[in-house]
Amino acid sequence: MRVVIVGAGEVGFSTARMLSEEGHDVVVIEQKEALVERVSGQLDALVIPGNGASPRVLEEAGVGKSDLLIAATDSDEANIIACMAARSRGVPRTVARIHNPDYYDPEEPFARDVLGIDFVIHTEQMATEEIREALLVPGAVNVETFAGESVEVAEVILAASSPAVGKAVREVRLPERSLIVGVVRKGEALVPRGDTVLEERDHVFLLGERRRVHEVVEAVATDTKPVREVMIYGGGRIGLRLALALEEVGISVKVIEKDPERARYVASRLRKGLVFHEEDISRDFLLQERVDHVDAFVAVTADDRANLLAAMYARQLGSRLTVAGISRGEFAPLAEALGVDITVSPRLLAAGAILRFVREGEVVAVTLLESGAQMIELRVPEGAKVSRGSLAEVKFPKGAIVGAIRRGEEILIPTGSDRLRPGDGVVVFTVESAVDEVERLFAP
Amino acid sequence: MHPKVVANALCALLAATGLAMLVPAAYSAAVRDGYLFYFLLPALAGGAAGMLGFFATRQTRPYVSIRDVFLIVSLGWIGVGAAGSLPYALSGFMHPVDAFFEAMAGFTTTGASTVAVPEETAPSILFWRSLTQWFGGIGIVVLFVAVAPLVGFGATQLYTAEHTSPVPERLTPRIRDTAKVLAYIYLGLTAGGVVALSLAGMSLFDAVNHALTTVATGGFSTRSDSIAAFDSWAVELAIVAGMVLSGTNFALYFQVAQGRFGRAILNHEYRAYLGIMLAGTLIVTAALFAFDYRDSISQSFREALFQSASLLTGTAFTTADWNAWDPLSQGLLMLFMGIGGCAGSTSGGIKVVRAVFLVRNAAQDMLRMVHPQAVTPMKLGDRTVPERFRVAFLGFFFVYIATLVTGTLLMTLEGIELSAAFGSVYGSLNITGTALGPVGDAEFYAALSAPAKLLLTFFMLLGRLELFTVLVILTPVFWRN
Repeated sequence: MRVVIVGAGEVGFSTARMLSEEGHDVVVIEQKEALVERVSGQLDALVIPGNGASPRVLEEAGVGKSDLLIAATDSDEANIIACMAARSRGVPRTVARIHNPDYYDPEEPFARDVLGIDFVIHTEQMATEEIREALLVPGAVNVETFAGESVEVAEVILAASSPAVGKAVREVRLPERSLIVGVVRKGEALVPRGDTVLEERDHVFLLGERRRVHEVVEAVATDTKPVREVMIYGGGRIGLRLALALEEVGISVKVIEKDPERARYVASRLRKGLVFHEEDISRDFLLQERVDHVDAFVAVTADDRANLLAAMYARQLGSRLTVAGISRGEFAPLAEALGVDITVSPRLLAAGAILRFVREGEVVAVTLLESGAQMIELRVPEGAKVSRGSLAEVKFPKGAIVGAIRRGEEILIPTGSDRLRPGDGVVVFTVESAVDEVERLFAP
Repeated sequence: MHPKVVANALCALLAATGLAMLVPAAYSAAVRDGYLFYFLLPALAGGAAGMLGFFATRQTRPYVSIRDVFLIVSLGWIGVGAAGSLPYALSGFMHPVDAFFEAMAGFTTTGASTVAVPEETAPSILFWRSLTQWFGGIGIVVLFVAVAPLVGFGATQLYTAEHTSPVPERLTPRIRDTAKVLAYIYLGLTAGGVVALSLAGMSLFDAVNHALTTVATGGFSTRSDSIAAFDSWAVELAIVAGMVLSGTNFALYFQVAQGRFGRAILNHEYRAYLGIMLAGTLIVTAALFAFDYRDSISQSFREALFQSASLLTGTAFTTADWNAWDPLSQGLLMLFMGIGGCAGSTSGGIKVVRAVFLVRNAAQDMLRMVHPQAVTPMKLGDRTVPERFRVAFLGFFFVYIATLVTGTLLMTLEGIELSAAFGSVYGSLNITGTALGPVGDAEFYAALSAPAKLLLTFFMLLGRLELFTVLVILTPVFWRN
């Protein structure tokens, strides 16, 4: 497949890398010189310097013979123009990143019909939902939904006092019809076997039925008090959306924003939440506003460093749960070391959404994890290798595990003797190195 | 300042007043009460002089500045009051000062009166009295709903601020069309009032007079005992409904007319207004039953409902002598007079929206004591009120209190006892024309000295035009180029 990507920022770059590594022909259009150099130096892709909203530049990138255009610049307008131009040149599928909700309403066919955009990536919305889900399942730092909302995978960080620490996976007592599908230890993903011993600060991925996911989390997590009060640092697009979403479910919010105009706007939008105007977050301020009493501290300013620092500060002053938004890949490994419980990356969310869109058909859902591991929901096609024998017989790779099978309305938690059938929906946890192997097994 | 523009508008108002006097003249001719000449003379003279002046000062495409508006409005009310007092004075029915007082109490819809026994007064005079209030009411509605939001004064600014566009629910793009629709609404309410009161058992004359003064929330009555004279639940309910409807922002009727009933009912000020009325009625009912030993809850409720609605809207009709009530009820009713009805209505007081604003502002001040960094925009419904309004409203409240204090002190100079001095100024400033103590009686006003009467008419004007509109004219800055 030939793909044109407009904009080589965080989202454009990760998407380009991902698609190029999957073997697609990637053309990147970028205006900023520094970014052009970075892409040509690091990726096996054709880079064209210039404005991606310009028809001439798009022509130069060979947009007419491409199968997909992804517009991921910072400017909504440029993305929209690029998609419209591509559509008029006959590009069959277009994806655009849109920030401003004025341009995009999931209920309205406007984006598709008038702007010629098949798929809109709304990273702020995705990040908001991500954080909200995690806060609503206390104890878990991340919750993903699969198999038509009937299966959830919850990510739990094991505290020293967790009953699971020091035990082998097979000894951990979990409710029925649930299992540990993956472990990320110090940034490395691994697929647990029965004798894998769990350690403190392991990120454990628990799969279970949606309505019982709370019980599953409670079996290994120690702190499962519901979140009632949240302090949000940064009243930007994510901060405001999150505050509104949390207010809706009855969680009280405090928002800290450094721009006075924006602070006033946020305050006028919230029903009850308090908004503070504070240029730089300080120890005095955090103590004054009782950061030690809030259940969660969420740092989602536009500045990764500020987010990490504030989350660290809040943790040190006694906040129960800390969340940081991190857009640049290089900071992600730091978060773990600094004791930030949850990191939310618009970059990964966007890349995951694009991947899902590109693989549409066989792949139903993809969640990318910082460690490079993926949680994928696939549909077993007719004649796939994986359905030729039981899971043990088809040599399912060691770096991957089938977490759940959705057969019709039924959800099965498989063992090695189960055999996949065409039409099954399958939730797979896989480390980075096993992704290709898994895809080969599931190829038709 | 454009003297020609101001003169032109004032002449138009004079001509209109003259025309208006033809109505009682016709009525006088019909009932032959002997006052025809005293209406006809000022009607013709005023009408002719006004029209002459109007055509003499007419300009094509005049430029109207905000100062012109303030001057036209203030001088206009005084001028109309002076012209409207002529029938009273010419006929020898009243001393000229009393006549001016009566006319201003009419056109400002205050309802204070020196007429002790209306039953002994000629019907055409009574009719004119009621009409002055009615014209004052429509004047104030047009001024504050159609003109003020454009020019930027008065509490309706806030109503404006509650909606998105800068010129929001005027709903028609031209002031003239807006005024026309407002007049239809006003006429509709009046006609409804006449029908309801007739059905409730009033004579046509009483029904028309009371409908006119109810929709204006004015309170002139044809009986010395006010509404108590009719002793009828049905009459009282009809008048309560009329007062509540007239204390509502007339812009909301626009919305209803446009089919946006839900939006209108969600209006923040409107709900606060109904809430205050309901809570007040219930408390007064309980107090009457507990402290004043009414025979039944229903009797307490009947008296409490009428008096609460009457004083909150500044109408000051009465069905009971609340001077004899318990202090709690009296205090509440006095408070209601100060709060008043909605902005953009014919009612008086500082207006519910300002009261809500003051309470919220105080709460926010206290919140900021605990959370110094907290950002606290003032919200009304979904809209945020610009910060400059906050300052303007606190300023308004200060001027209101200062005016009240100054007025009270000036009245004591005329040898009036302190509580009555306060009551009379409070009643004038809040456009009720009544207050606790002797101030509700016509005898009290009749006995005042001429300077005291003129002082009170000035406070009626101040209250009616929401202070700044008049006071700004008294500042040197206004006259500087």
